Amino acid sequence: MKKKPLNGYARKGKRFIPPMKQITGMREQSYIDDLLPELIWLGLIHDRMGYRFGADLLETIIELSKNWLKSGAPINYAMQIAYGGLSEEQKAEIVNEWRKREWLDDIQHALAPLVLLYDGFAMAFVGPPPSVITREGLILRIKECVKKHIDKYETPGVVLCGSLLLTRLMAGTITFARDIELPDLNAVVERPGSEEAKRAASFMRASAMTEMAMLDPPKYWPRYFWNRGAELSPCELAEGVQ
Amino acid sequence: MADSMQDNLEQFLTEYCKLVTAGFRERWNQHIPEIYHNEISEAVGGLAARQATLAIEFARNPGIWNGHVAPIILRCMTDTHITLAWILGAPQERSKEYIRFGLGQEKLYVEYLENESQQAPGGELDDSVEELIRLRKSWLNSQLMEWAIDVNVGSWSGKKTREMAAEAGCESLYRFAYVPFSGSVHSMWQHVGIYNVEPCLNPLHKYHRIPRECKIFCV
Repeated sequence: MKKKPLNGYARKGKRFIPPMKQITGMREQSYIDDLLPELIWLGLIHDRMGYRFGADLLETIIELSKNWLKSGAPINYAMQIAYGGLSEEQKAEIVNEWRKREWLDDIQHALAPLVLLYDGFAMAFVGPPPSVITREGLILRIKECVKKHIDKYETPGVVLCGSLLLTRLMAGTITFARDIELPDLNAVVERPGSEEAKRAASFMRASAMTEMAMLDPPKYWPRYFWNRGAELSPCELAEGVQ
Repeated sequence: MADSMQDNLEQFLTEYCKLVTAGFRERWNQHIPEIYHNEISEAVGGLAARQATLAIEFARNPGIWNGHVAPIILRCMTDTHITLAWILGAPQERSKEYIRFGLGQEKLYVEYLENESQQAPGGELDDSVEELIRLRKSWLNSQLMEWAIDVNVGSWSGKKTREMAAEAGCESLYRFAYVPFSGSVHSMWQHVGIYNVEPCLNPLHKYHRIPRECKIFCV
């Protein structure tokens, strides 16, 4: 017997709703539209100094934040929007800590495209890099970075997703039931392509999308980020720039 | 003389095609794409490009400038015009609906293909069907994951074309282009009765209509 097409779909008038969208409270979240712009700063850090450095950097912020008064609203410091709510003193604390560790120059270099080209970047407080970078150079860097991280199934994108979970683990704001067998998250970087890495990647992506749904941050930065991209460089077609 | 007329026509058509291309580029260059809500520029840009492409292809092929084929192209262009005009009335919401409807139709088609390929006896369908399914799925998933795609079997806009045309201020285009050309697209009697049959001249046959052979057009 032939299988019926659209098996499991529910009919509502002239519309067939897929099974996953029949779940109450289900909301669409987009990694590319909304999450990537929030995490791309970390992608620039990874591009310049590597994944390990990115994790250490997040850890310093988590450590500092433990002394800050909590506003009550959930915050994840892997997302750039989290820095928009910091006081001037808290921003200065972060910068001073990075300077003390002799990280500041590297971080300023890494974040230069966002600091110099994107108004309203919440981490602009780190300041511009000590040396001059051409506008073309900045555009090329952010372009390459987005290209590298736009696929959430490739290692750089997986690591960005994982940074949301990592931040929560560092902050101690997430716990897992004992009977949940956690994958080895390091496998994503250490053994890419392995079964363990695939399982860990899937776990990280799912956590990231859940986190995004839970925090539901405002969309003004993602919208600005993508539209600013169109202002910074023209469309490109296979046969050349339009 | 005939050669000169043909040269003039060819030159006219070349210039016309250049004008259409330039007109499209001029309009597109004035458009600032919204990247976050990318559906707007994708739908609007795509429909404008389709209209320009149809105009150019039609102009380049004088062999189809006849009552049999021309109305099919013109009806399609009328449809494109009404769709675009209606979308521009509320671009964000309507372009999204337009794209999602298309994805739903593609999803349904892929389901039909998969169903057919699973049921076919071994070896009856070649690998190209599997490849077709893979390519179409990848096109779908590059825009919206398959599991999140609704399938709408009604009108994409929830309205009839007449209502869309009225809302978009192109009622006369609907009345005088969409309606008559629809007969040709759907091979309805108002078209077939004129273009595809001719009266038999035998009075004993009550002047009934008989199929008109297309050879008369094969000059």
